[in-house]
Amino acid sequence: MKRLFLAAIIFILPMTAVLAQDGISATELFLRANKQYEAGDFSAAIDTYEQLINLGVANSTVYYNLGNAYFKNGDLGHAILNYRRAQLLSPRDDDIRANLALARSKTTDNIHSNSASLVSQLATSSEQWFTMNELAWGTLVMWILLAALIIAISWWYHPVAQRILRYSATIVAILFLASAAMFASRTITAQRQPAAIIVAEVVDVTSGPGEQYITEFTLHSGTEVIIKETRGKWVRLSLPGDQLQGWVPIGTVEPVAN
Amino acid sequence: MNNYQLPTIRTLSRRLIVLLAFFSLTVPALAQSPITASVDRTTISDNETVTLTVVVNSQSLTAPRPTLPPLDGFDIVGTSTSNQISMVGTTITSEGQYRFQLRPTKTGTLTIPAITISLNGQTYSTDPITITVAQGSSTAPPTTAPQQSAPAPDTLNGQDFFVEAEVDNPEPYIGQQVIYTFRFYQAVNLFDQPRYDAPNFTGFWSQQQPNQTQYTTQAAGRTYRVTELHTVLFPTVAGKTTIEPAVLTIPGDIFSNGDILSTKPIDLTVKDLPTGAPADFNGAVGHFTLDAAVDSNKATVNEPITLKVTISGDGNLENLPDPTWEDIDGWRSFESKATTDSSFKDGKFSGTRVYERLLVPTVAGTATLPPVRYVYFDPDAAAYRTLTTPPIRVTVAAAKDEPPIPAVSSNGKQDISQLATDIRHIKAVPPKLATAQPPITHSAGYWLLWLLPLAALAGNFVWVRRQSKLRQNTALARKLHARKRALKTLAGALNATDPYNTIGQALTDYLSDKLARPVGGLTRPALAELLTDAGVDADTLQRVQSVLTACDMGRFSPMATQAGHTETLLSDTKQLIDDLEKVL
Repeated sequence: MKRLFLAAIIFILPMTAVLAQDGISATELFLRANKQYEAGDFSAAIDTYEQLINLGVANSTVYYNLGNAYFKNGDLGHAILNYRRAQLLSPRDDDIRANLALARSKTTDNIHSNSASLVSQLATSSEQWFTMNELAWGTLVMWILLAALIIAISWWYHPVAQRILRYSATIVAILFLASAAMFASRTITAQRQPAAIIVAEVVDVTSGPGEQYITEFTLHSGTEVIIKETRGKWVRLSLPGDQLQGWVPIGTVEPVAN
Repeated sequence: MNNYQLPTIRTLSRRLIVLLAFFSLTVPALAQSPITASVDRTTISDNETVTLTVVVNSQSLTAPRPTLPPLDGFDIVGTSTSNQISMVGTTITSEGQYRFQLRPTKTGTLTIPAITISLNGQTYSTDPITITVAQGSSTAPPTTAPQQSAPAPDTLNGQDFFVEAEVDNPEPYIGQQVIYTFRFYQAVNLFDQPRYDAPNFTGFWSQQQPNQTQYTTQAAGRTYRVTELHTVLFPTVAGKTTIEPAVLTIPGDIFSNGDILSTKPIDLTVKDLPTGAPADFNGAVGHFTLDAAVDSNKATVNEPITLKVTISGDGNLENLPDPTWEDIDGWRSFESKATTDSSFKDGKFSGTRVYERLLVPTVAGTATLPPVRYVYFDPDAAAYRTLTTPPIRVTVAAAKDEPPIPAVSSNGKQDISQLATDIRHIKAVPPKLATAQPPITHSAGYWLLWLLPLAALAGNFVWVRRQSKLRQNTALARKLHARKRALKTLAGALNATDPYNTIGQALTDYLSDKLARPVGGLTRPALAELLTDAGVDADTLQRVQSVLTACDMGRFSPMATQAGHTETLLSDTKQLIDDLEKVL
């Protein structure tokens, strides 16, 4: 029991990264990237931010700044990709939301996402509010609370206590169900319909995994798609709601979760 | 000085007044009676009402209320009072008006008897009034039924109310001012405000003037108070048009039926504007003058001056077309809001419209603001006229080293206008940079935590089940061993200090065990109900009751019991338990 509790504490506490490369700490590398950005050298800033990410730094600010650098460099696809990644880590960050919305408004393809399934809609909207870990912990806490209340109801017979306990249990049960629904939708979406962004300027979507197949439609940089499967050097993707689907070469599309 | 004074003229006259006053008080017949009674008509039909007005004058703040004598042949269906106080010098007089609405209950000649009032110890009375009540329809002139539009009488010839409407010009040009005047003549006072419903004025731009004109006039021997309402109209469509009747609704009260009066429709012929209008004519019709002025003849580059252009005259000032503003070389000009100040005076709707324009010079030197031109149509002369202001000279000084002043509105504030949208700037380096962690759902410990409440719930379930089963088993065991336990208690009863109590307790315990609930605290009827529900017949029930009663009696009054009674009770109880055993 005690060990489990300790394990729980360790999971929530973010770990401080002490990284070293050529004697430069991650913080110094970050500072250098920000300076490059502010000097207007966006390509160099992109390289430095990517370096940080390759070192294993997982911080929404890195992704947000990288997204900005890509945006300024005119690469909408990578900008949206990195804003999405930043949002996965800091879903309630206003700046990320604002820049993501602005970047999305500049994309070429008009996607009607209202035909998306209920599960993926729930997953998409919960992405703007909770991280996966928050949902995991929230659902677990609600579950423990609900069990504790149910046990208390079966032991504490006082009429007032019974009423309070039953009301609380109802509320906790509702919260538990809501949290569990979001948690489940996110898990299912991550497993079966992982989100991805078109990062190539323009990409032809073909009917099969190869150059020889006919081009069915064209997508542009920044369009958000769902990855269906990967076969060799080809990725099968679909648009939200499965209206359109086809194959694109690997590398023209990047999954949001990496 | 001699103390004796001859009475002066003044003191003499004062005495005379006192004497006269005394005289008038003591001999009321000579003075005007302070109470008068009148009716609005003396001939009515039996389905109508008559209004009896009693006026009481007194020298007090409130006139005393007269007491109405019993009225034979009338029902009082409504009353109303009004009290008017007036002060002449230091004398306060009040006039109380008491109005009674009377409905006849029979036909024939009816009399309203004299009404008396007691004032300053004196009794005054009115003359009796005779009223003739006819059968069926009224012999009096019929009154207009409410909610029915009466045709407007042509002329004012002695009616109580009269309305009329007229226009000052039945043949106006499009856009020419027409004054529509509605007059309400009233010969009697109204208690409630009448309601005026203006016509629709279709085909006109209309503006009703809030001010009413009131005056009095004489007609057919009556004095009328006249209320005039004016509406300024500007025709918008050429051709023949009609202004629908205006309707005035006089609300009915308990003394009078309401009335609806309407004016006659007015026909107008709206003339189109003649051809040959100048190119810069924008539709202004009326009589106007034009004036232009700047707030300062000395300007500085990039500092605005105000050009004020005033159009005054009569016409549709609210909707007046703007003058055409020409671009001025070396100046930037900004539209500013126009203000209108108009009023209705002497039968004309006139006023001014002021345009304020901000002009910002861009080059230094002497500049001339070009004249402002305004073209309008003069309906009286049936001609187009062009107004021109004289040119204005302005000296522009070179700019001080200041940024150009943007267009400022009157309160000096400027609306924020977003020039471009950019992404929000990058964030600073966070104090802590965490390395990527595998998601918590990938750890087995997390999922083990999920099992924890599940295990707790399962354990709780098993525990609760066992407890309830145990409780059930105890009850069963007690039920099975109830007889044995009772007989054991009864065996020791004779040797107990209180045998009756022991016997009673034995039976109560037995029943408690059998019914799986304590019965000691139950009332006899409640116990009887429980036993009946358990299937005990009435006879056995009777025996249970008698044993318990006997125990109670024996316990509380041992002297009353006979010897050997305890033994009998004991054997009866044993027999009863044996009998109960078959049922329970």
